[in-house]
Amino acid sequence: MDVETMIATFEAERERALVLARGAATPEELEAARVAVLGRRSPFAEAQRRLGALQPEDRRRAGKVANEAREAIVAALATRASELEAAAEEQLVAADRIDLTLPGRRPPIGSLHPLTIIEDEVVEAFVAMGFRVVEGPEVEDDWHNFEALNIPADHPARTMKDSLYVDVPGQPGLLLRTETSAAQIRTMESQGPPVYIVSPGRVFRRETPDATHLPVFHQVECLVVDEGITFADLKGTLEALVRSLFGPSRRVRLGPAYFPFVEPGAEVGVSCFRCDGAGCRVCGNGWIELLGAGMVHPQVLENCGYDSERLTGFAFGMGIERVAMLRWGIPDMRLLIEGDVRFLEQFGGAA
Amino acid sequence: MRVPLAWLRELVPVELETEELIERIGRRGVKVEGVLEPWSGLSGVVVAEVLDVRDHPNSDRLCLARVRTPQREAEVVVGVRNMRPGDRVPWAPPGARVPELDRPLEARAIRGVVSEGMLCSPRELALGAEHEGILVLDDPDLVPGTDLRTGLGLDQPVLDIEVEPNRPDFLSVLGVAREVAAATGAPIVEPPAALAETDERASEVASVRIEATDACSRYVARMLRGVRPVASPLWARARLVAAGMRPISAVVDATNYVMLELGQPLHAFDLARLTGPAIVVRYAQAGERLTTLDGVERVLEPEDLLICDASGPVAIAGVMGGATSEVDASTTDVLLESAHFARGRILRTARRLDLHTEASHRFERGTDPEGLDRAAARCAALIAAWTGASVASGVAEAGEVPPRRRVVLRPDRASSVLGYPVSIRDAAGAFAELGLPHRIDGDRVEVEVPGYRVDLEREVDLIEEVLRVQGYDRVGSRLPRAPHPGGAPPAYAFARRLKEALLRAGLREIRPTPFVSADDAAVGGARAVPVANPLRVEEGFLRTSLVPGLARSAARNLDLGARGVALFEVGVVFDLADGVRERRRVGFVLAGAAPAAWDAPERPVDVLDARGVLEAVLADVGVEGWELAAVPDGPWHPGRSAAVRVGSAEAGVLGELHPRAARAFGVEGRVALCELDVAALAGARRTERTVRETPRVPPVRRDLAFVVPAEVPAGRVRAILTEAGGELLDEAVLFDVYEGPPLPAGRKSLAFAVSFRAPDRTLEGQEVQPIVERIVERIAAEVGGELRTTRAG
Repeated sequence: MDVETMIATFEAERERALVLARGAATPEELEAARVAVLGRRSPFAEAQRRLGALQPEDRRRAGKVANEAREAIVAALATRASELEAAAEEQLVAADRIDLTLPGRRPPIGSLHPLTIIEDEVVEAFVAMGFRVVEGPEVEDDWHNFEALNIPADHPARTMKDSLYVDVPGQPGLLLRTETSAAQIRTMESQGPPVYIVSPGRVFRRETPDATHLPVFHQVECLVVDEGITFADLKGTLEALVRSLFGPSRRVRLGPAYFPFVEPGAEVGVSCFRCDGAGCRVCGNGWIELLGAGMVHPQVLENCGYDSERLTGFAFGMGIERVAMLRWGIPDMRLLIEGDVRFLEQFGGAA
Repeated sequence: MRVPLAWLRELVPVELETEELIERIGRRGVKVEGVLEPWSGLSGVVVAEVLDVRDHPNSDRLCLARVRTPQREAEVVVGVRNMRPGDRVPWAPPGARVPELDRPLEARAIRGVVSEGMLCSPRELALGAEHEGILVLDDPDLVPGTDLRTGLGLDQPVLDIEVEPNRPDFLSVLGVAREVAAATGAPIVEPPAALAETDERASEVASVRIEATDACSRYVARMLRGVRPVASPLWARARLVAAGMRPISAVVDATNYVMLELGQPLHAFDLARLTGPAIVVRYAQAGERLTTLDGVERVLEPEDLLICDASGPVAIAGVMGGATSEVDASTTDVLLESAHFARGRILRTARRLDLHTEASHRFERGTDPEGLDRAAARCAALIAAWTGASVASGVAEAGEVPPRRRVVLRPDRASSVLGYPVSIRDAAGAFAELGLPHRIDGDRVEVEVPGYRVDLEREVDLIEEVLRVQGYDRVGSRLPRAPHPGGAPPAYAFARRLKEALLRAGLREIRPTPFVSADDAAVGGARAVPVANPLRVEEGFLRTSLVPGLARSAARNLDLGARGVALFEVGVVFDLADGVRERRRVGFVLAGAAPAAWDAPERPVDVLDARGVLEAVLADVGVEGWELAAVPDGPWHPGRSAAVRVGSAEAGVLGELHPRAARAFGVEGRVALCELDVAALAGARRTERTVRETPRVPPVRRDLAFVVPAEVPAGRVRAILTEAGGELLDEAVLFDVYEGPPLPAGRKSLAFAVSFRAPDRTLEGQEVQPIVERIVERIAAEVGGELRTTRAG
């Protein structure tokens, strides 16, 4: 075989290999093509084996062609191999289907109690205003729950009917606190002015449970005592609270009310968030009664050893259940204590 | 307090519409809770004249009455026959409504005779309890054809006013009228109390003496002779009913009428039944007894104030009269009491005897010590007018009208409380508007407090009056500036953090009530705190543990169809330990089916699900170093429960309920629970994070399966493995537990995926081999286990 024939063979085999590679439809056909063009018995291998017999000049020339042809053939086979691989994978993937409308396998989601959600919001709002959180005992004594709050023993506001007492040997008069206001007294007894506190907690009344009453409910108490505190500070603080709970456009209305531990006392209404004060089914006359408030009664300050001439203060106590019921339109207070998951799960996640 | 509007307008002739009136006094703090229409169920009943009354042809008991109005005549079947021809009676023709019946009347046959409606008794018209006869109308204005509802003023609305304990003056029409007058500028028209008195002097008829001068400042008695046992006029009865009281007789009705009108409770004694006749106001002697007019014998104590005659108690002062001196149909002469009693006294007695009357309600809140004479005169005038009695001249009395309090207001102080400038003129103007006598003295105003304003005691009370008059809208708005940053104490913040961790673990928060039965209170193993006056006897204790609340909530949800529940609570439990001890606990419950994907088989929860939550939550809140200890006392499953120790302290329990306990709480099946002391957890939580460098070299992995005696806890094997593994052991994770063939009985296989790693270099397999051998030796030596398989991972 002369050198020209040899070169022609390499080039012809290159052309044939390219055609065979392109034409291979499966990895097996491709392998057969590789054997056919590069296998030991292929014309290409045959011709290559004879390269050694050529003159050095011819051998260099033909060898160069052989190498180029082999590189081209290997590249074509590799290209085709990856094409076939990709096609095969595509086919597999196309067959690998799942019904995405099936339910996901999800980790369980918990929920905080609605009262916790409201309590958190209130506490956060107050902490942002520089208030400190205090907590008091749920079983209180007569002094902190009544006497110091300007409700002496023969006061009509104080009857066995309303309070739940506990039987503790040697400690008569212990009761389940009827207001978080008891925390006011404990705070003022334990520290001097100024006082800026918020006190969330559970309170108790002797009430038969119905849609709007429970023997156990929750309040947040707020107390400020400092020099120069006025009724306007009370109103401003209430506005800040109400807006953080019910939205920035809410208005606050104060009217006369009586609580023994404040004077002047006030009942606080908020403009209805459904009708914005126009009057609707939720509010009736446009205003929702929200809580009781007032300027700390000087007698209460004096009971705690504070100078009632130099210091003034305000206090209010808000029912958390009431806020939750208003906010979410909860029709029956008992839902809050029953622990029914179908109720609780509505408070999972953000809102 | 129910205030009939017509009565109110009589004392304060104000032109305002009802709505406007309610709004105006509402802004002053008089809370009208509702506007009642007591006779809304009455319509179409008219005054008719009786023409004749004859026997019912088919009944001995019934009769037939022919009645006439200007429009028509009709025949009515009647069950009684007190009406006579010429009488005017209330006739409810077909189509009329009476309060007692829930449907309009129809013409219907009674024993064969068609009755065109009915004639009405007082009870049927809701004008009293009397049902023995048809109401005969004697008011000449009620001519036949008059609509009874409008004719008797039964169409007038009644204001239902919520009276706060500080304003007992609102427990009278006059008190409310004063506030209406202040709010509207209308004048007060005092009810007439003019009397024609006889020559007989009251002070010579009976004597009055006050021994308990600290509890009774003044006692006034009027004497009336010749009362007759008649009913009070219909209009007065209607007002009593509208105000919520029951008409009884003219004398009693007159006392109640004046109490409602003026706020002064009065009591009428049968003069003939008073020994002496004398009145002595004194404290009871221990063990003294009196049968009150409700027929109950009361045992009295020295704190009780009594009204006595010359021989003994005749009334519990301010609370209720005695049965022996009660006015009844035979009474001809009356001693009418008008007195002022100290409020605390009356309150204590009424509360101790659980005897709450209209009188005690007013006395215990405070009555007007200046109003005794007017009330006595007004009541005597009414009794005289209603019964024809004559009134002796003057009063028998003892004690004195107490002097008025003088309270000073400094406008500067008012300004600094209210936050807006209050001038001396503003203050004086407010007091003038309220009818409070006052005088300006330099830079202050001195108020002379009338007896009826028991609430005005100190300066701040006057400041509130100024604000009430000027209006709460006058107050501005300002945010106070706390001189320190806000924040929560660590205990509060940690409890909140725990809730967050439980939320992330997929549980739902509950807040059950803390009242439990004796059985549930025993769960906590501590001495429970009993509630002295529980709402329900079966919930007579404060909880000692969160477990009953959690278990019952789980039971309730399963009953309602939940497949599985996962609930938690953070709350206080109580026990008796040198007083009441309150401790904050965290607890959770898992019951029913464990959470699983739809394509995995459903299985019931067990204690390891609870352990998983516990592990996750403790890791989340940074509590490291906890361990299990022996099964605690209580309702726990002995083979599936353990005490939990955190740090060195017993912190609570993790486990399943004993099946018997689970059933007692209402659950069939496993209930996995955990309850821990929050303070114990808070004490054990890490305060700092230690951060290690993460290794950059791959680990050498070995799966090691050991066969050990079945009773050896996996935790023990893992502890030995970890210790024997030494510094190079990176992690040992249990991945399989197997019991059964081919293993011999009493043996189990525990398989761990163990990884070894050196911090600074890649370990070679042969470096690990001696460690594995050391582990195998230790496990053989300490728990009698052997290596079953080993496999390079």
